[in-house]
Amino acid sequence: MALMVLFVLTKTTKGHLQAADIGSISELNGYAKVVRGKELGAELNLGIESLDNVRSDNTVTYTGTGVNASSGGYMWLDHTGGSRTINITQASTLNNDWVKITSNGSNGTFCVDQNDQGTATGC
Amino acid sequence: MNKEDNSLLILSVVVVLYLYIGGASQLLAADNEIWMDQSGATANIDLEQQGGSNLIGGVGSVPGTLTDFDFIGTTNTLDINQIGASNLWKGDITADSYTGFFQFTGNSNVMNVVTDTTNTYSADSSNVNIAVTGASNTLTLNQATTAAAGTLDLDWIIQGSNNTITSSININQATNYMDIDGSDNTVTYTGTGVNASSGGYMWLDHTGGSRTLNITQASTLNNDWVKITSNGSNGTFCVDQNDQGTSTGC
Repeated sequence: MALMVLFVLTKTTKGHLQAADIGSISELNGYAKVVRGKELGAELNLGIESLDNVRSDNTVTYTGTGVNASSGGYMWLDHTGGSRTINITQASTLNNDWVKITSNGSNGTFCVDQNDQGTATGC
Repeated sequence: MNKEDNSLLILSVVVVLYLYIGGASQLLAADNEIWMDQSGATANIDLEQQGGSNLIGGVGSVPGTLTDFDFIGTTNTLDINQIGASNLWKGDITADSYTGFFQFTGNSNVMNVVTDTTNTYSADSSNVNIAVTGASNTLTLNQATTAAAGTLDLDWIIQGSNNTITSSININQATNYMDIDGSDNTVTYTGTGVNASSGGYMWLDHTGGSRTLNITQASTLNNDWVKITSNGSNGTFCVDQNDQGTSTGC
């Protein structure tokens, strides 16, 4: 999973009622996009306007199967960024599944399903 | 085969049975655990556990010494689904205007959740739905003990016997509806705050015998309102509307 860090430089604007140039992307690690009517791939020095929606939009789909998750086995997700889609299924049949999620961001969905390979209702 | 051999044979069979049964019970003990710390707005969180003795961690959680279930922000949606027996959810929710769906299917489950005890976001305008099918479950929800749960819409649908439901709400304009079917259920509800006010109420629709219903409404400056429909034999009701004065109690 890529960890995305996005920095946007801003500059002072005065009295604009419509979208205005407010800066540019100065640092980018991982994937991001800018929604401005249509989606633009984020890249260094891309201009950012006042009504832009800058998204990190990472998707994680993880499925852990097997018999024994057992001692010492786990899933740990440390996440920062908005509009994420996180789907985690842990389905080891005979032992402990363990997941730790730290997430800081708005929008998006999480689905964590620990089902012991039984019939889950799903998310 | 002499008497001593017979004794040894019986002992061996007992040991084998003990190991088999013990081993099998260990194999069936699938204790899954979820540790979560989410902060941010407008997220949809869905956590589901199937099987017995699972844990979603939070305040004071034990088996594997889990801590944090933190759910922080505004306008989030949280869906908890535990299917099985002896599951445990301990949560610390710091949220305004969140939507919650908490569903438990099975016996002897424990839910122990507090919402915004520090008044970080207040705890207004949330829509919380708790659905339980099973017996001997223990459910505790304390909503906005410091802040006011203004316009909270709280609904409980409980199907089963011997369940224990405890809830304390700072109820300014909040509604608390409980639909409980089953015998030997215990409800302890305390509504505090300043204004229960217009639109706020407690409504209990109950069927089943040997119930224990304790309802205290104690908002100081406005109208407390309770409606109880109960069909069953035996048990006790205690309804106390005291405006935070000194009441004699039941």
